[in-house]
Amino acid sequence: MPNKAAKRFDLATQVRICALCPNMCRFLCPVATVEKAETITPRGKATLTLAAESGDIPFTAGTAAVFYRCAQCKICREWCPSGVDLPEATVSLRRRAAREGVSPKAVRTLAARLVGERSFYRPAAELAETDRYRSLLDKRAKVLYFAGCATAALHPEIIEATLRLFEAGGVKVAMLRPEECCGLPLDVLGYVDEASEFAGGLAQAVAGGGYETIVTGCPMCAQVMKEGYPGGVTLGVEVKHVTEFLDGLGQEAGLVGLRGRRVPAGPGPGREGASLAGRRPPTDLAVTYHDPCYLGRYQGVYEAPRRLLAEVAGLEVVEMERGRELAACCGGAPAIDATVPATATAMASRRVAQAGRTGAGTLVTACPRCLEMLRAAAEASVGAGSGDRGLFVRDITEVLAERLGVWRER
Amino acid sequence: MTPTEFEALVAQAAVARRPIPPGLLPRLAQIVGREHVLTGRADLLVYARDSWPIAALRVLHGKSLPLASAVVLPGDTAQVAAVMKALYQVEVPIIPFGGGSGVLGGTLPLGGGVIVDMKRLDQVLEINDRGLTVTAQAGILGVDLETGLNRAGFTLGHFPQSIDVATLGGFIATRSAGQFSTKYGNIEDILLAIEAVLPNGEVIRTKRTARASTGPDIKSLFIGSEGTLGLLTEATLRIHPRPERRATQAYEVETFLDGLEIIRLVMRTGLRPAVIRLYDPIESAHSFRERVTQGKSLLLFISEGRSRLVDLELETIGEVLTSFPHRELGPEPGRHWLENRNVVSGLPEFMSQGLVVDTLEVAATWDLVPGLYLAMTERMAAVKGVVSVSAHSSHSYTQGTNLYLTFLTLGPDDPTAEALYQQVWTAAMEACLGAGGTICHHHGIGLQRVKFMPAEHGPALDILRRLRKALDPKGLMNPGKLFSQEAAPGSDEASGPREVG
Repeated sequence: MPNKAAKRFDLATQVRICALCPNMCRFLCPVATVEKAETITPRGKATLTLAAESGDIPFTAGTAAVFYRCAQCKICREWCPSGVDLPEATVSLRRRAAREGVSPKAVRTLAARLVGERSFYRPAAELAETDRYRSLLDKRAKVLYFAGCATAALHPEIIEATLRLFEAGGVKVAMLRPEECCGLPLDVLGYVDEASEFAGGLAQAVAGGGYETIVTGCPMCAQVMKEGYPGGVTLGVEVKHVTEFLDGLGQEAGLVGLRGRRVPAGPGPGREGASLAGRRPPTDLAVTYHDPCYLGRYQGVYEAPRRLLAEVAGLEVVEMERGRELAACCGGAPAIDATVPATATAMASRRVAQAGRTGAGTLVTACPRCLEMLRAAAEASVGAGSGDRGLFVRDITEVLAERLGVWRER
Repeated sequence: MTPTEFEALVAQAAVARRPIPPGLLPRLAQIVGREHVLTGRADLLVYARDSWPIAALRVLHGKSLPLASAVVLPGDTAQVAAVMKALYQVEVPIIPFGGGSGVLGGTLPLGGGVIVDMKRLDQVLEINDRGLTVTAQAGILGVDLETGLNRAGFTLGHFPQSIDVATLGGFIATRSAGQFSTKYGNIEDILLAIEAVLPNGEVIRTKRTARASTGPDIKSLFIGSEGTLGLLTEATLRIHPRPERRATQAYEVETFLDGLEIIRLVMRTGLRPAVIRLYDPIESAHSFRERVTQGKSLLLFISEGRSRLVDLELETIGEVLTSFPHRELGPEPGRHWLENRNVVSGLPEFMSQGLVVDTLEVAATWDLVPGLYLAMTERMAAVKGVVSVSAHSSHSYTQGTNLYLTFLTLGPDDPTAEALYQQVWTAAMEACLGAGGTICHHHGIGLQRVKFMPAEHGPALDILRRLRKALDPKGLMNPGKLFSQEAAPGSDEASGPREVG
């Protein structure tokens, strides 16, 4: 079992400890599990870090590429009784790679695009479609809803579902227009100065609006906004992931809580007309929940989404073999997806297979990246002609809004 | 500066080192796919080591290790066979690689060659409910095999401390033992059949059966062969329905020798608890802290299976204890052990601070065990620079038990640390042989124990040499490991440089 009483060592000592360890966490590393090569395991990277420091190996593009094959999921740190944070050491080598111009081409391209377009998927300017939700927004609101660029570009339906939930809870929110990338992807890819520049812009926008709370549906955005940016930029306001915020609404007196609402009788969260070989029917109230790395291991938010699903939406949450602290990454980590996309896809497939083994017909998550990866993997896993339409992968806000009867997927 | 023992070994191996022939890498890529042939310096550097402290120390101190020319990761038995054939034909050394958790240097490419990483062969092929067997590919991690079995309601019962790191092929090739071996047996008791690829690329399979009287047991030749006879690709093993109940009971006993005597009597009674562990005062205090009185030894039993039998087993153990002064500690120390049994962080933490820590394990029959314990701990502790020597017993049999020793030394710099490490090892092995013990219970031989093999086996070692020569006439399989192939046949092994009297 993971040792909760992790001891503290400085980062250099942590790397030495990792290189001296028999690689006890290797079975949990989601990248090594797929790629198999020793090089990718935590000990492999630690060994290489020491060799790069001693000059035993030149820090070439080939060496640097290894350090991009880490999902930053921190499952190794979670397991490590010595509290070794190898992902953090890995990021410091990515910074060196970025500085020395030896980061992989796919990473350089991605970073340049992020800087140019101010967003991960499409130019931020194109994502400024808040007009669609005008009636649900209030410019004077003290709560800022920060959708995140992945949600805006890939899953705009989540924005509406979330705004409907706020409305049902009696919470007035505003949105930024345009909303730019939070900067975290640039930071984890090693582009620290660029990330700081994004932070500065965001801090200005937040200060200008006089907001007191930021609520975001993206765990990555929530992480960097909570913990602060490289260079010490902080936003100076309370930041919550949407699951924490909605869970709080249910618990705080004086608000029209979600918790008090009666869950309407009706279909479960599954897909209508689905034929799910070996799984529960779509009307069943069983769902399984995938913990996003940045929400779970980074921010420690495990219970809020489960409480919302069970107590607010009236669903049965069936746990996977490895959930919560030991939930495997979905493959959506920017560095993995950019440099070894086949590995990212395989990681998602493995997680979907684990979810499938619970028997639940619906897999719920709370991160737009996880949603994207898992949904694609679930669709790809569908056997041709088997009639099995696969796991239904959904965002928690969609499921909540639908179960409360305040929103319906179109 | 004089070269260390390891450096001398590397220099000797380097004499035979040749560049790999042109055309080999494209051929390997053709067989396994380009992405599964690794030749980058970063990859070769990581594969240059396993979990042997000498290799780890060199990594820590920025000292080089011999590199392989390439690493290949085949995806199935046919690919393994094709890879072996291709390598053997052009006379390139072949180094099998599983999880790299070995602690004796068994996967180091001393004189170069190609490392064959088996981890892509990671499937459970069949769980046979009626026959109570599982067939799996050799590259599967122990934990993945056990999890797959648990899902279906079974257990392998094989829980080495490296279960999360090591592969099934590694378990077999190193003749491993699991923490629950007293009930479920060691790998040689669990293994029913193998598929293996011989050095020339030929694939052999042995029959899955409950027992056979069909001549010498072919699969057994591969148990503990450490990659010198061929490459294991598949194995069929005994499984068990998951136990109905698991219960633990711990005692504090006056002395380590008292504890050994209690275990001897428990085993003699015919009981088979899954786990019996006895810790000397140093390890009792270190692993169980305030649960045990300073200077006393902790004795732990875990029983599992049918509920009524579990009760009866622990009750009968209690009866054996009545003849010895003891204090009952209840089930909590056992639960504590179950939760922390695979935590090995102390070793890397100590070593990162400039200490050298290692463990070694030996075994003997009950008549010799007390003398073995006293001789080894005394000789090891007498080596200048040794800070601590401690021991526990963790695998017991009707006829005897193992001793698992841990030593801690100060190693201020790299050459000193390595020399000191070798001095302690030599003292330990010589004391063991002198006291009639066997030099290894379950870690295997690798590189570290090679020099003690002649004294362990005497002239009989030549049987293994001839077997190796017959299957691997070119001497390409994991060269330098397990035992030295060079000693002249007929020479008096016992009078070698490591004679113990």
